Amino acid sequence: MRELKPLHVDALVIGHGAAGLMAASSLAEDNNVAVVGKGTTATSLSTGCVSYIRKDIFKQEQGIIDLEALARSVHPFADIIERSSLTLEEVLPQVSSFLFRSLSDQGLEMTDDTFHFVDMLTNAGTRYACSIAPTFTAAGRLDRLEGEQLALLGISGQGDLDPELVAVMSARELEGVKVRPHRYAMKGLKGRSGMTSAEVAFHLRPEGNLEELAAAIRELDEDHVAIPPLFELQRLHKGMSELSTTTGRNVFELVTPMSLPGQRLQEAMERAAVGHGCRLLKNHLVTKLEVHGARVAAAIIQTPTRVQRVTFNSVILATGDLVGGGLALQGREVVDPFSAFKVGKFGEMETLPDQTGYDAAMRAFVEAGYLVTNDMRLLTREGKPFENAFGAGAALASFSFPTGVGLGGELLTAWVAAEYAREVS
Amino acid sequence: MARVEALIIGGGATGAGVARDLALRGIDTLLLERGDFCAGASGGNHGMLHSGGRYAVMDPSSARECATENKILRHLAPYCLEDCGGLFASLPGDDADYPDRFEKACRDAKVELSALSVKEAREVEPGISPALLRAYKVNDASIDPFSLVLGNIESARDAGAKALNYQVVQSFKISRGSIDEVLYRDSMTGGAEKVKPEVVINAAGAWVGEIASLARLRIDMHVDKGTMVVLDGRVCNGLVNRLRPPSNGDIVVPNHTASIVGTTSAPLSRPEPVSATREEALSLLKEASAMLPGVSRARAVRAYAGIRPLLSPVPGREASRGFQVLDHSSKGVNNLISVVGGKLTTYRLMAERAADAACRVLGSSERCRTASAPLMREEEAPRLEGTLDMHRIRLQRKYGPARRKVVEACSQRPRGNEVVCSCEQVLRGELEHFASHPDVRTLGDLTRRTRAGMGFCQGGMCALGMLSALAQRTDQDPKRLLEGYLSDRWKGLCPVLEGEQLRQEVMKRYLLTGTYQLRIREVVR
Repeated sequence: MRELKPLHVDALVIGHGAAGLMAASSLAEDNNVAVVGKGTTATSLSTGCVSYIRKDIFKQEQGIIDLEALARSVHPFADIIERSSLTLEEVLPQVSSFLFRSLSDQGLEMTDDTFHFVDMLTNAGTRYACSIAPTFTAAGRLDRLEGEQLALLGISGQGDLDPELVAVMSARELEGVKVRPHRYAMKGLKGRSGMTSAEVAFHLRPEGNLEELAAAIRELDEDHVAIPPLFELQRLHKGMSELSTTTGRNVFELVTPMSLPGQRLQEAMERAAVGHGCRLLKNHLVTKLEVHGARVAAAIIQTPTRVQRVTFNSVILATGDLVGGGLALQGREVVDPFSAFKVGKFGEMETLPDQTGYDAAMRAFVEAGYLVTNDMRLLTREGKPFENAFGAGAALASFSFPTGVGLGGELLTAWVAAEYAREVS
Repeated sequence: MARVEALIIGGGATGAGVARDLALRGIDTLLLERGDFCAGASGGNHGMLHSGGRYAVMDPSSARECATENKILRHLAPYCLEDCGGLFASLPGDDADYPDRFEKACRDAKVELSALSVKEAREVEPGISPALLRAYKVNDASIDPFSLVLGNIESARDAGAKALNYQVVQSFKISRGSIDEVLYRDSMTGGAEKVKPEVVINAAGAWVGEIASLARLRIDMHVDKGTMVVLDGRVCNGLVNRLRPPSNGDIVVPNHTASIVGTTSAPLSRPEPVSATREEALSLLKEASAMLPGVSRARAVRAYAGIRPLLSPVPGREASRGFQVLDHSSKGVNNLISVVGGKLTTYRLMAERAADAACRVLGSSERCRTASAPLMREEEAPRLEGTLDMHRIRLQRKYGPARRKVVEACSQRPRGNEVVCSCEQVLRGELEHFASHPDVRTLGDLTRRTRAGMGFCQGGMCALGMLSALAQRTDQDPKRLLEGYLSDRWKGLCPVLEGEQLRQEVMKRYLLTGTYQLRIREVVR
């Protein structure tokens, strides 16, 4: 193993998912920042949408979020922000506009609907609400489709959109919309099965193949056409615009987990971080953290062939939850893989709302995580706040949320953690 | 009002067996099952065709019945069972005198066995504990109870019987000492029907007492909860039994793509919905891994529980596994027959005796034919077109002679040969074939018929595909169907989750509950 010469940065961010990249991008405006990440992030397995808020705090009649309800009872991050010197009203627009700006620079146009829900249809035919979504993924509010006809166009051999299933499921979800399933077998993909969305995306690169798909869409009677995600980030805008303009239809994607949308968000966030001047070290494992008292002095990072010692003024742990692989499990107990930080359950968040889809058994598994102070400092195993180590994202206690639901919380905590880390960087 | 000669209550192995038996005797028969066929103890067991060895010492008459029925079933329904043989293994710490008593008891009960040297036993079962002291080989086999029960139902229908699932018997109208009318209700639509039977056969398994109480009769019996754990993959070649008096974790049965570890025994005060607990699952795995160390390395994919009906004044392990056919005429109801106790292995014999009793009430002298008439005619499985041929043996083994229609669905329907459940390699055609059958109303019904969702991921990847096959053929809310199914899978998963598997299940739950906004019901364990 080759030992590289030591690296010093103002801030080291561990974890290159949504939280890590957000914290790094924000800090990089005035700091020298490195981000290390070990593998596939939960962000890239997500729906690529960002939810800050959920339906139960949405005051339907006024069309606004009940911020008080949010802060008092629902999300722990709201509680943290309330107790710190920052207010949610301040942080929310900042995070959203930073994200908005960063991503659209990278070709991922987002519909910012922070205070309204973007109501979408998933590839299982259920309704899904979020507040920031890629323009082409969002159908806008589905109730705008009322009285209209919607075609569901599946690509034969690719399972991301099962049009018959979505038609049956959405018949109940979309009352007043006439939904019809269609399938199209692309000429060059005949006879293939089990294709990933990336394989179809590759097939669509040549101009003629996209035109073939457009011709198939023109054959449909419906004005609105839902398709599975078919374009990678670089081709998303061009591909979707072309499908819409050449067909005269409103073409949009269904929300698909573990498919292109999450990968696009991941890629756009990585590029944004690099664009802000971060050093992004992917496929690096942090094998050890050197802890002296209440200070983390250095990290040992390695690839299969190289090892390097990194020193820093501050470190942000954005390693993700159980799903993301940030927290370790011993049997059924959630533990810190670095054996440095205090893991536990956060404050009074023992009763998470039912809306998250938790049940008691599930909650027992996922609510444990890193504990932090009001200014996002991690705690030593004895419970003393670290001077220079901060926590962010789903790795925090009670911050592990079902796929898609959680990214808003991750980004907010990352933003706040970066604000405090800046003070010691 | 509809009239019928024989009404059978209960669509487990016994009820299905009685329906087939009576139908083959030419008797006009209706079977009512309150859930799905084979959804009670008939499906909630380890899928073991007993040689009789397990009961030889404590319950020789059950052992003798098992030994006889074992031979008959091999002839009757070969496709439902896998003749993998069984081993009884004695380990350090087990009662050293027990093997000799076991050997003698087996010989007395006519249970075939042969003593193996430790070396021979290890050749038969290389995964056995290195501490093995003594071993016997017996004629155990693994059996697919779902194929067996559904095969009996189909055979009964072929012979003219009618069998309905999701029909709950509500009440009896008794006049002049006989059940004159039976009221039943569809558990999903709520629709009520009445039927006038000449004889009623109560084959409700653990619930026979409940049915008898509708006629104000009391049956002296016990019910007992048994928990089992399903391991992914096969940890042994044949069945492995611990050579000691029956207790927890002393049977491992290889079955299809899985191994099933059994079983606990806990008396219940009355039959009620049961589910496996973590403590039970852990105790089974710990005990079984002493016998087969590979158990501790296998992935436990599910724990489930069934309720045994026990014909005995004593509850639990000590209770006899024998059965009794009760004619309630001496207690004032002239046309009610109840079948109490018994085992899956002896289901045919139980059915024969119950049918004999029913015939006595009907005044029929027709003789039982089920001991010699094969369940469905066995035939060679021919080569199949294209890639479908890869599934030939699996389809033959799962569906027996009924596979022809399944194969047709797979080869002729659009996308019929697409794999939907990759753990069990179930094809879309199989699912669509069964989804279009009026018996199938839930995703669980599809699982029982095809094994889709029974494997490694417990429906995580295939539930949507299964729903796609079913949703177009049902009026039910597809989202509710999916939620109900996933809740049931989660119930079975919860007791066995830990470590990496727990992480994977959290991810699965997150996708389903977060993105798809499904509500998976609370199960606290």
